[in-house]
Amino acid sequence: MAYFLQFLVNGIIAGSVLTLNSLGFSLIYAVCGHFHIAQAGVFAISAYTVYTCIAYFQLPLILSILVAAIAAGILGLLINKIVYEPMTKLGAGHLVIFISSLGTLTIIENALHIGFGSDPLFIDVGGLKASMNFWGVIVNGMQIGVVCVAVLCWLGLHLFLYKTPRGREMIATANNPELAEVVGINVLRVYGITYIVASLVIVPAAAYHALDFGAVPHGGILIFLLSAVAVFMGGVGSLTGTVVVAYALAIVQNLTIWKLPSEWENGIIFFLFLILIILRPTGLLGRKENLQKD
Amino acid sequence: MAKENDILEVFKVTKSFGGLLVLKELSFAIKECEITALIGANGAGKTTAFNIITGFCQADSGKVRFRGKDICGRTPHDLVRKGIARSFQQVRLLGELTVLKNVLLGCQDQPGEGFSNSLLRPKKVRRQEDKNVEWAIQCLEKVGLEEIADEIVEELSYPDQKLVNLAQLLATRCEMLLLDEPASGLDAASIKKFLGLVKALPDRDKTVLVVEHNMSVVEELADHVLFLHNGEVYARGLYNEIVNQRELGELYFGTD
Amino acid sequence: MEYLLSFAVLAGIYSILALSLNILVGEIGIISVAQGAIFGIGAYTSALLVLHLHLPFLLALAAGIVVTGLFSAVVAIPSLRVKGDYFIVAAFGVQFVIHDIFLNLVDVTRGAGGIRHIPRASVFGLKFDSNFSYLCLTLFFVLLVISVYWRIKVTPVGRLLRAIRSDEVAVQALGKNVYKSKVMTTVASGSLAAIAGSLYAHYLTYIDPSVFTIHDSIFILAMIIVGGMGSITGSIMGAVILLGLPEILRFLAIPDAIAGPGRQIVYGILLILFMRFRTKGLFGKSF
Repeated sequence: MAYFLQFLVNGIIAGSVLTLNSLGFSLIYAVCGHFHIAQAGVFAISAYTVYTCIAYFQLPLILSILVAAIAAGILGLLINKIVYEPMTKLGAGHLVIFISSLGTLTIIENALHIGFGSDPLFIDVGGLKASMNFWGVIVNGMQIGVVCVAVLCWLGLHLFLYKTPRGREMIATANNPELAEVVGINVLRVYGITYIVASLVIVPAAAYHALDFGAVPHGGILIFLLSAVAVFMGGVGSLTGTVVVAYALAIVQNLTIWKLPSEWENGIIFFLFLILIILRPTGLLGRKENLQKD
Repeated sequence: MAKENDILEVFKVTKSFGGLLVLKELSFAIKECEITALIGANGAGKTTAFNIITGFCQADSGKVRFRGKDICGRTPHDLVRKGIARSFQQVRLLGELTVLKNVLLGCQDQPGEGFSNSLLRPKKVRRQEDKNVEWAIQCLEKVGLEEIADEIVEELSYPDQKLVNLAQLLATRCEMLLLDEPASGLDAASIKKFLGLVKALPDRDKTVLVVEHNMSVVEELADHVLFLHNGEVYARGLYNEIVNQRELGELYFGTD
Repeated sequence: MEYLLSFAVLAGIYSILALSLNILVGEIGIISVAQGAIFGIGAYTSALLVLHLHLPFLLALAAGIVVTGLFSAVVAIPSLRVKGDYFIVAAFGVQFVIHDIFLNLVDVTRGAGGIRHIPRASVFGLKFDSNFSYLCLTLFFVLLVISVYWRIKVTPVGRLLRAIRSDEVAVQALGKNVYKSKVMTTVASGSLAAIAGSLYAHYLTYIDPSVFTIHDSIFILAMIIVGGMGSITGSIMGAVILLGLPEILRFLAIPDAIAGPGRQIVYGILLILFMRFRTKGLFGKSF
């Protein structure tokens, strides 16, 4: 029973990391319609920024995360402005944006590879990694932290989207971009804000990932893909669905590696994904698509 | 109460989109070899009805019957094979391809569209393709575009593009055509030409259902008019009967 | 000279890969980042069948085609039901999971160490031992794949695939089963990649998971982006150029640690530049 609880809690922790990523992917995909796989690059850069701040500048953790957040926000905004925007202005479709996103990711990951090498770089945060024991379940400060941050981010995002004018503009643009423009919403500005918010929300996940596994150049891609799975399974346009599925996937994944060899942990997820899209193509809580859009 | 020569029957079709009720137990029947017009204000549910009849959208409840057979839940391509084809309000053609290739895509009997046939049975593919090309050119002749068969569609004028689309629909050999605002975007001369072609369709054993906002087009074309309001058929009859009802005019143009 | 022949064989093999992906990306417009894994499935299937069951090369090649075809179908059937992005995620999933299998199913695939001593290809007793003879074998298959691609282009199926890429809703409205075409094209693309896999395994006589990664999938994609989507010439030229460039740069004595990721950065830049300034690639006609 103790094992079960431990794996469950591990699942909740991993689910928090996945949720943060999923929220980021979901925002950009729903509002801008971009399959922004370069997000995995923003994730990696955030991780390395945290590492550099702590290892080279001896900044405290919180400050390092803040610096990384600024870097991530700027990077996300820049990628949209420099890579995607000029192309959409020329009428580029979905495919073209995705390919350029892939190119951007490749550049970022390999630049990090050249700059930092491919071995994981570990960060020393001393006390935060000290294990605590709650009823037989072992967690540390970092892990409690990331779960709290994930919940806060979800609530905060919810409030932002539904209670602030900018957030409501994002929702309107997500539902109907042409109509949003007609109604007077500055769609380009909405995109910019979306990229900033989405890039910010993944930073805590990147920081945790770096603290736990070390910073690696290709560290973001797998999490990114799992978060895309969570968003599609939970239903595009439903933040709640995404969060629920993200936690469910992470818990299933952790419980699976309790019984199965850990090599299959990702295989299980993608297998479940395929099963689900056979049974419910629009995801658990998603809206029904009528005419397929481009 | 479907009658003898009703080719299409829509029976109590209801459809909501995210809490918004668009079609409210919509019921009507279309007679064979007639041109029926569906009119109504924006948002009355006309395009949704089209989408449901042609399989691009599923009704929440209700039935659609074509020649007495239930066609609910069928895919659009399946329905074309059954004899129902549609056009779109914004004409959708394959821009990079030639006029002839666009019309050829409307032909239903194409063994060459399968990999195994195209790789392993070249003679069969060639024979059928020759027949299809002949038929496609005939369809182009019917709309008067046989001269420009080899031009690239995206370089054509909008009226010509609409004619190519009409040729495509003819090529499908479908007996029922649903035209979504065929006159939109056309100048008076093009409308006249287009109307002439559509009017001739019943003589070719075709049934036509048209959504239209242009009342003079409706007057010219329609044997029968259905006035949609708030997702249901509010009035039906001949054009003159409908157009003389002041109340309908107010509903049509709205009071906000 | 041997070096040039060897380069030519690899260029031929990667041309087949480029052509196989171009049918999917350039004709029907479906992006796949799993071609590296599919290439691997073809290679491992062929190698294992010849090594353990002593199947003749051609039969093993055929078996590889069947296996990758079935596998592609199994993945395509659920994931092509909805929007194209589901397929992108599924393809990524396939790439990672298959690579994991190559790495971890050690009993079968020998894991990271790879499979050695794969017999060179031989047909009816004729062994293709020399670089020159293998080049002839490769060219035969390149021509075969080119003729398949060309045949698709000039028959109604090519017209249908292009139309789907252009506007699949319009094609549905004309009575075509778009979903079925998408699945069949994915199967065809996988099957052709298996030919490359088999040729590769029986040329190098050694395969390991490191050449069937996501980077290789991106490499194959870059070949057709640069060469030209939907173009036969483009597929071949893309393969030759992207394989050749690193070889030329080798003479610049860049340290290995930088050369690997450096090449990847060049591919990334090429992807962005071509998408921004010339989506049709060097030899493509329009996109």
